[in-house]
Amino acid sequence: MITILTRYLTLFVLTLLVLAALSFSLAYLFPGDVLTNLSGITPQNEIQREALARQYKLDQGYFFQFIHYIGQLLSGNWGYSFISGLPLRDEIGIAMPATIELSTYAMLIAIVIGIPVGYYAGMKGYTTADHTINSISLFSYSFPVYWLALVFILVFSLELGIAPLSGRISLLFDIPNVTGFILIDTLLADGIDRGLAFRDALHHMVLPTLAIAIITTAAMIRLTRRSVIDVLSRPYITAARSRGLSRWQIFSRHILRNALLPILPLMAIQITTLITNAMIVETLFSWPGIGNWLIQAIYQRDYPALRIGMLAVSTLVITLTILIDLFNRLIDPSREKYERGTV
Amino acid sequence: MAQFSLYEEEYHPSPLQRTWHEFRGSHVAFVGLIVLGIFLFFSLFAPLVAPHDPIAQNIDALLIPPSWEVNGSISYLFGTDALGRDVFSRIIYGCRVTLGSSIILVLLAMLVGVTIGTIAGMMRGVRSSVINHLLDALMAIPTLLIAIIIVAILGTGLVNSMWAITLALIPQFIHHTRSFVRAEMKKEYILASRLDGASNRQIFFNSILPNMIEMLVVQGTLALSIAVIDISALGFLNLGAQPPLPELGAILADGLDVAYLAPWNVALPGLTIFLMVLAINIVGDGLRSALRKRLSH
Repeated sequence: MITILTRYLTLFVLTLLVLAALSFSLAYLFPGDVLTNLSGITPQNEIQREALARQYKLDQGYFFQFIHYIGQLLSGNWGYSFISGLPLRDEIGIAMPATIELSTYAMLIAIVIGIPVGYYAGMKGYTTADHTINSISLFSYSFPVYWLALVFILVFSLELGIAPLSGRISLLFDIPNVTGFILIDTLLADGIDRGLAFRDALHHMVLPTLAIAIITTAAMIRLTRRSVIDVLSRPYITAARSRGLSRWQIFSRHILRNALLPILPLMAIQITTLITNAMIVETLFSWPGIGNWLIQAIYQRDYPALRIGMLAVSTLVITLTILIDLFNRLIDPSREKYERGTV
Repeated sequence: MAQFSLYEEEYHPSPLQRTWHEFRGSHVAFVGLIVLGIFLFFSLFAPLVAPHDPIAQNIDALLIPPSWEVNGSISYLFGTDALGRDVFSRIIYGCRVTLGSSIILVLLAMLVGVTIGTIAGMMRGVRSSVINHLLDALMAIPTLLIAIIIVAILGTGLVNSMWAITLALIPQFIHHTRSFVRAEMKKEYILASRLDGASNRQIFFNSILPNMIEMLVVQGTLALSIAVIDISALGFLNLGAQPPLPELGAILADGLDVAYLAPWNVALPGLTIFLMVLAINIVGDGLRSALRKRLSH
């Protein structure tokens, strides 16, 4: 147990170091002035430039610069945006929760719908019901997410007019940013009709969440179905059957938990796809999340923002992945280290 | 007791032939293969199939609806866009750009991934463990993020977005190759060739690679569907292929300006991407289940 924890902790720290090194080297790789890329401040005169260079230890070797950079990151001084001039930490603090919120709801939908449907399809393996579910999931798995979101906007927002086009909440509501999760923030806000605001936020959230969730749900169904079918062909299921257990008993005692094990590490991979899809959908719905923020940053060539945004998103994804991996390893020590299921 | 003589059977299908036989048994997979074949045909012979020049603008024919609408024209099968360009020709050329670049980048990612994966799979000890774990962790970085970084360093363009997606696809090939090589190295037939004095190189090319090809084909189709979606997504976000170049995602983004006026400019390119990805996924699915059936018999 301790060994595993140490291993994963080392891995985590190492990966973060690699990411920080990447992010640091980006300041040199991006076009333009290194000092500006690193700090986000364009020096007005030579004296200010000297001072900034000293502050960022640019007069010393790369290694010391990097050490200093990590120190700055840890102390929360992430530099300033080119465009808005605001501290990047505050901007990311607003954008990141919006993306996490969107992805969390999509993932919840995928788990709540995808896993039971996958179990059902797997238990009915190779029957008409299974084939239907499998084809539908293959179908929805193939949608390019931006096109799906566009079709949603065209049909539901423009043609039918039953869903709002963009944003998180109607501009009539002034919601202070407390947790960053709009649904929680509306309930915490003072001086407004909370029920109305909550319903409005929910209304704004339906289309983007659905666009992401459809693809993730399809992937989830396929993963679960495959896993259940694999478990069904194991000898211990035959043994259980020959002992006279009913279908339901076999399902609840042997299949339910065993089939979940190989799904977990694959869920880690799904998180990457999920975040990518969320980032693309955000730009279409003008959702103020990290994807939208990063894509605006690349359009405006805001290099300090890109440097930190890349670090923040990859840290989030990698933390989640490693946590899921660790959890999987802890609950299933019999598993080989590198083993992963298939779709 | 089963009465059969192995050597008197008239027909001895090779493993590949048996997989093909299983694959053909599934009608859906076969239809998928035909659709994919049509797309490949379009990409290879785009200049012969396309009725118009994909970038020639025609001021006399702006926003003509598709031919099945009342005021559509048969000479513009899928209608025209806001600059009078023929949407059908653009989509045909778009297949060429999108599918062609995806195939190239998947092959490239496969080559690099298999090379590194094999080395990692044959290596042992702490060094290999650290590299493996790091690669696994870095595999989790989203493609879009890598693409944004590469675009920031090198600038926008189809080739740069191809580099980004290649880079993002490599880790998964490394991962699968490594696990496969690891598992194979423990088997007896490898031990036998090792006892015969085969070097690592010979073991890889003569024993492991032939067994790995099917896995690579399956992984390749998976990667291809991801590549098509990502290339067009980057084109759509204006980070990949730049407009006159007919790339399906870029065509879709072009149509966005007139989406309300001329919905076919958004619907048709999107439908093409969807069909392409669906065909690739169906073929990949069919291949996987054919392989599974063959191995389980």
